[in-house]
Amino acid sequence: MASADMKRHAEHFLRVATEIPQCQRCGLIAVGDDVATLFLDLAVEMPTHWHAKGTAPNGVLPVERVEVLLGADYPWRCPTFTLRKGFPRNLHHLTPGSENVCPTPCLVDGNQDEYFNQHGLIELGIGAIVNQMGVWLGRAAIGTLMDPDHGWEPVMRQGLPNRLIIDADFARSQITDKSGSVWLATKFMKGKDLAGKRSYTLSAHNEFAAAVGNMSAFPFEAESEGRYSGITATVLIWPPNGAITSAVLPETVANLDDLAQRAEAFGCGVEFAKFLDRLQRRWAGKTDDATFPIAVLFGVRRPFRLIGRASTIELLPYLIEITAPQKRASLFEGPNARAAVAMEQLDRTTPALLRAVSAAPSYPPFSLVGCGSVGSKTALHLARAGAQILAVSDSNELRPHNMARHALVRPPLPWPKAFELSDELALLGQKPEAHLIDVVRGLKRADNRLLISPPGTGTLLNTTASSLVRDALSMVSPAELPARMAEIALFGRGRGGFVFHEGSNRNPSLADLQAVLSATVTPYERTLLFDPEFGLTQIQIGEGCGSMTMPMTDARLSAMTAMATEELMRLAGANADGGELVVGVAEPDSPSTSWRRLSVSKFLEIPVEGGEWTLRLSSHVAGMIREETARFPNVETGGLLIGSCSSLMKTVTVVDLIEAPEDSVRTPTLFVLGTKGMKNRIDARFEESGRSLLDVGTWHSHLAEQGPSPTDRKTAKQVAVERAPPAILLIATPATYHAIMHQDAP
Amino acid sequence: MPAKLTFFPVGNGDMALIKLDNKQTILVDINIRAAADDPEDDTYDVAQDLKRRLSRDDKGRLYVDAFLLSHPDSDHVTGLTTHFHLGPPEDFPEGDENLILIREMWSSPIVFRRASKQHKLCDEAKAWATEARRRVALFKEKGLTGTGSGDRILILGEDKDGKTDDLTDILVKQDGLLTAADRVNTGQFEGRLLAPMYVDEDDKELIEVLEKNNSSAIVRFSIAGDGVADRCRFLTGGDADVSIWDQLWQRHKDSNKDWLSYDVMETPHHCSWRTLSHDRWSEMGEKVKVSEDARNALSQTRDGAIIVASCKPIKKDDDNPPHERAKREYVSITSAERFICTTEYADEHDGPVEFNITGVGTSKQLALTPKKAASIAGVTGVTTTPRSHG
Repeated sequence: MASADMKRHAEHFLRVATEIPQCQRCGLIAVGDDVATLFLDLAVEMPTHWHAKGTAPNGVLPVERVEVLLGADYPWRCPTFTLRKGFPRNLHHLTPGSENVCPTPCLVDGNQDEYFNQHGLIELGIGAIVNQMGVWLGRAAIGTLMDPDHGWEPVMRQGLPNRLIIDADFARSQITDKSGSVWLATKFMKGKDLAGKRSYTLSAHNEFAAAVGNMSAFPFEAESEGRYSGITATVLIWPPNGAITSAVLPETVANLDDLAQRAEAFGCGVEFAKFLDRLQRRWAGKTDDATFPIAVLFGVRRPFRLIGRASTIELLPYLIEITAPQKRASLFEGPNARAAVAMEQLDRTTPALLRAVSAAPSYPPFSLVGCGSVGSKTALHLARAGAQILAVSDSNELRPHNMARHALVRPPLPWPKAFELSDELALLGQKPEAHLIDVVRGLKRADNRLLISPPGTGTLLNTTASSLVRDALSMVSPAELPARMAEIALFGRGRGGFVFHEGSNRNPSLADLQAVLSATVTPYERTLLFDPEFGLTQIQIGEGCGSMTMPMTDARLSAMTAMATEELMRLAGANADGGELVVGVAEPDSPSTSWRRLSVSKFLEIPVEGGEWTLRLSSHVAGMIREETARFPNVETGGLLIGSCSSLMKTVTVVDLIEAPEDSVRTPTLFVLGTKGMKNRIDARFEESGRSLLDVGTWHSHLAEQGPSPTDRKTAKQVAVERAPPAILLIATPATYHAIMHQDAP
Repeated sequence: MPAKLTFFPVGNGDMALIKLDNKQTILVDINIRAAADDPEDDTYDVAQDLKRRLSRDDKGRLYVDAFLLSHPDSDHVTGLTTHFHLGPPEDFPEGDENLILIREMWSSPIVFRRASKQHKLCDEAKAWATEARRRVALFKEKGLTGTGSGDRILILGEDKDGKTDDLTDILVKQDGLLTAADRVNTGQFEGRLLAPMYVDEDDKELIEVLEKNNSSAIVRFSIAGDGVADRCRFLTGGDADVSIWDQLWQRHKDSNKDWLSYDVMETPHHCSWRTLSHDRWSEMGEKVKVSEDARNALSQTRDGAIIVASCKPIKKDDDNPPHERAKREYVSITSAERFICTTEYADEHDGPVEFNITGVGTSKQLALTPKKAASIAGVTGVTTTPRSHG
């Protein structure tokens, strides 16, 4: 940029700045081809009584001079602000640096260039950034005064070239009441940051490195020829309990001596000296061509907990480098000799970090059955919200055609889905067990049940879309498998999806919820659920082989799965006593998806006399029966039971009634169910439910507490002869129910 | 957000809002003129600004926790019927997003007096009085437990003819403390009620002196910042005149002069001369004398205190209030930088005078307002000035 352009920019900046309320004076210091330097005298917002004194207690003045640097790429880049040399350094939001350099404030939380340019007009950008500088100064004036309610604000180290990635919770858990230190095995990589500065990234493991002992593994090893990566140590050093640092110390550490002083100030000077001594001894007699970075991590005790953390310990890492050539007086003779610089500390990916970033609550752990497209996506959604996943089970392998929608991307090798998903989850700080297992069979054995749903599992989620698996899960007793069960499945080629969350004590079970869904489907849901047009299709996945699958894009599957997972998280978090089903459908010609929720109360479990069957009566139907009997208090009444049967589970599940037709007869001792129009109504109900709900028997009332009469037994026998599925005769007495079915003697 | 004290630019009139640490709000007087409500008029839209600062309750209604009416003159109550709901809270028009519910009224007992020559009420003041009487009647009928938010009232000062005798539970006596807004007492503030004064019925002479001007409530608030008590002392005195301030000084100078101390004071009666002196400027000009007692009462500053004059721009002319000689006196108590006229300030900054109250004290807010930023960039310039187009 020509000097004239620079000058024009500078003058424009000053013209705008004079209008800003905080700006008392401003002017041009110098202008060149690539840079213009200006000054602003900014009034600082501070309490009136400090104004009267002429200074804040920490030395911030009522009017502060700041220098503004417009660079060659202004206004694409935000101007740089610097403060006077004597500006107090014991503040947050000051870039670490030597005392000889004017300090630079961190003005915005995020990208300053974006902030400057987000307003469209440059004038608004100038106004905003100068105002922000003013606000920053105001905060600086009162900023060091923190209190227990707000928490301790950690020192700002964002964007430093050198970084230490560490599981902060693990590091804190090592800190004991006495002073001490541990060495953690650490990987390092040397590179350059965007500005071309040398930068190290150190990644500490939750694993100790031997600080002493020639027989133990040596903690330092260069891996590559270029010596840009290898293994080193992070040295965590902490002061004794009671050594509390209440002051924010300026980030001016530049060399080993500064670092030693800093250690002293934190109350762990002796430990730091011990570390240097151990380091020398560890290297005694050893040589290496490489330069090794070491992270010195102080666990500083603060007077109260840190903002956003439950701990009072602030982790402050510094980087030093050592070299070990053959002839040496010390390890600190390399190119950066005795330099020490502040590092940025980043949390290792852990569920706790992910939970915090997601602002998600803590859930009881999940285990998953089914690691297909829906299962893999749900697992990642849950894990990314910081939920713990204890086990993943599946009986299939990842195939190339799975790449259309599976959350994992893998080369064409047939890896078991469960193992691959488990590996992926490990990157998010999880340690789920993976099982290649047939769940339907597996659930029958106690040892396998423990694999599928390990102790501690809060919710066992089924994403297999298999009714066999659903039934198998519904049959296991709560004593055999105590986790609460849930299910997510898509239908209608991804235009529909549902979430089941069973009630406590497996009541209502997943199978019950499926029957309730069939009883309550809307016409559009029914179309999507049962119309073959929206069902499975044979897809060619190779020469001579195909797969039954539901064609849809990954985007469609993800959209429904994501929303279903949100519902699952809500349900798992609430952990209500009853069950709930949630159904969502994408509207036909719009991007909108509508969801409905239905709470499902506990089913009545009525043993069926004369067999090993159980009648499960939804509380909704029980209510309908009681209403009907109240309408006919002096005569017997009744109707037809609608529901589903499972010969595997030996259950008849009743979720609806058809009321008695007009030709029925009601007397005090007899109820005769008529037939007029019944066939059509049963057919219609069958169709309405997507051909999943049948007439499963009849019910009638007894006016007194009397069980089945001889007539009832006779009818039961007749019905059994006439139709194949188990047919129930349900008797509702004023206080209870009796169920019978006829079974031929074996 | 810190606790906040805001003075709105309302010309010659008063309108201040205290926002406490616990987000409760106390409104002190209003002067929302028709021009300020007119979108075509350049007068600062104080109603809109006020409403942006208020919270809504679970029914979506804007509300203030307490509304202190220093005295029922029109320049302290204008806009009441337009912007506030008056009447039982259950009659609040459903879905109305603009009306403000007054959870608790803080009213002087003057509302019980019949209108007289000395006591004329404008329509809005009459509306205030009607609402106050409704709330007092409800209290008499149902007591404290039977009066919820929107039905509550505190009476500031005893009435001289005994009309407040049966109101002990909702009465704050002279020199007593206000400690709760809408009956929420969490130590966020206290307000010392310095006036109106209780005058013995037999003291005819004092009655004569004070009669006209004793109706203004004078409250010295002490407000907590970041949970720390007493971070801001704010003295507000409606239109109380020199004789009141003389009396207050005599009453408190020996043992309680701290009750008059402040970090922020709103000049009584819009920076008028009659607050400070018994002499008439029109007769004596620069020869006038400031009443020493009144000046003492008004100059109990804490370090760095600031005086805010809620009035028109202050010019050297005979138009009083505001009065330039009064300004000079206030500047002598503080300094030129620590004396702020609300309308002059609004002309420059396009916004109200604001103080932030933090755990370390009271700071005059220094920040670029969005309106000012827009005007720097010339955003509104095009549409606020008529432009010819050929």
